[in-house]
Amino acid sequence: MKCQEVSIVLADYFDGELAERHSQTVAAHLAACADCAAAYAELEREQELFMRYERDVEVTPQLWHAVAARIAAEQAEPDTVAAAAPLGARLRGWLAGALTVPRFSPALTAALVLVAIALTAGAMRLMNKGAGAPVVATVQTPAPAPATNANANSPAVGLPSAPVERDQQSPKFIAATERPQSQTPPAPKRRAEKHDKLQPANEAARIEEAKLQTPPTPREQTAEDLVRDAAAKYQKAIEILARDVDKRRSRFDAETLARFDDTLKALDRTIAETRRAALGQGNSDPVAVQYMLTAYEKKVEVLREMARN
Amino acid sequence: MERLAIEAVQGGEGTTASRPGPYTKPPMNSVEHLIARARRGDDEAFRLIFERYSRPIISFIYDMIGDRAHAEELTQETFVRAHRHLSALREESKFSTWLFSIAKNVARESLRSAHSRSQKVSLDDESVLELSDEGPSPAGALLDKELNEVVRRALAGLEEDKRLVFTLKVFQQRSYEEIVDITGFSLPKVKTDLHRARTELRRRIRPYLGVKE
Repeated sequence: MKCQEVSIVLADYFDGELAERHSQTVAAHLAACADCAAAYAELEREQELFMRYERDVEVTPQLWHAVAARIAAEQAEPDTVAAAAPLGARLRGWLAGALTVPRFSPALTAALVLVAIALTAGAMRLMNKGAGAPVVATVQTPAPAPATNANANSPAVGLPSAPVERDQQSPKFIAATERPQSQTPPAPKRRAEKHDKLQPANEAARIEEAKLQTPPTPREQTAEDLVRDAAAKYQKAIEILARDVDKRRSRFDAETLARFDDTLKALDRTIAETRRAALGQGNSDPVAVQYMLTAYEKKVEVLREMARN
Repeated sequence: MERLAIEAVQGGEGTTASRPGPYTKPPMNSVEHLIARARRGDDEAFRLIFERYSRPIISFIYDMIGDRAHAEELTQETFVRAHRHLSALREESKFSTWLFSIAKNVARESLRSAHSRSQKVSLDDESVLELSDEGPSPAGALLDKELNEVVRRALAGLEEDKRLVFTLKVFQQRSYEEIVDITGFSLPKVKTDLHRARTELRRRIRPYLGVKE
């Protein structure tokens, strides 16, 4: 073995990453070559120096206590934490937890699909309301050729030239892109059209356009109506799933049932607390809407898991 | 080195998986056993896991971040996430790699945040040279405090990927295979980054090694 070859694999040899046979060859070379042995000795000195490195950090008992407290808070949530923390913090924490669990499975009932669409329509409508001027401007200045297959990313509709994929999925993005393209709806909108009772995306857009042409009337469907609709669909799905779960309660042990009931109670509390702000008269809080619908979603998920087992 | 040896005995990977023969129940207080207990809600088991891995994890994060208070916060976050997702761990024998992978994600997320950027140690060659100008002594006589500062600054001066690979290899004594698993880098990238990191670190600490140029 030549010195050049050894120099290439010397660090690997030092780290014990060479195969045994190769390692033996290098060892034999080092025993006979002073220069390569010196290079190896330098690696050893470096490692020795790095091993003397003392960091300005240590594991204190407080560190474990902090970890344990956070874990306990997560486990208790939304029980203990819900009772102690402010509503906003409670909801944020809950939502963060809810978003880490698996989403709906393909086996979910058709009712949940309807709910998801209702949720999208409601959230979209709310975001439209919050977006204000930019949305209106988009509607008032439609793309030059709205009947063609306009690309969702087209600058003609006044959108960012390269939105990220996640943005394209967001209700806000859909809302901003669909209206000028009402003749050629994208897939999510077509899906929504099958469920016109739920105020699908394109219909919401149509209403928004109509609002621009005519003064609002007292009977026009509001954002609150859409949220109420979404909540109602969730409640219906929950009702269906709850019946299934009731039939299966005898399959579970007492501890599981107790935890299950506690979880549902906690979710019900969250829903009750957020409903007031989400469905308040006149001016619903979009953040509360999101939390409330997520709480409903979580409840559906918990029930679905129980119904499936 | 000592703590790493202890970790290798107590929680190192492959100790059970590589054992030939039929499946045997994990011994009491093996990491697999502790994970099983922790999954059942045994808080004491998770405390033992924390006790076993907190030191290498906080060291690793500190090497990546360079700030003590922040490293403590991120160590907390690492273990909270690990606890939260313990049920998602498929290969208990690779717990350590999995945990380091979480720590890596936590550290990198932090490095990308504005907060982290503002706290990141500002390092350039000049600051290292300033230390060198004070008259480095050979490794044997080098004051620990000075050495620590030199290594800390040298580490902070590395690009993030190189620092990650170097830290895992040199300080945490991870195999290439484990580093690939933890970082998601390809093996050639791991080797290249490690080589470059070593070269860069060598250049910075050479004055302290008493080696002729």
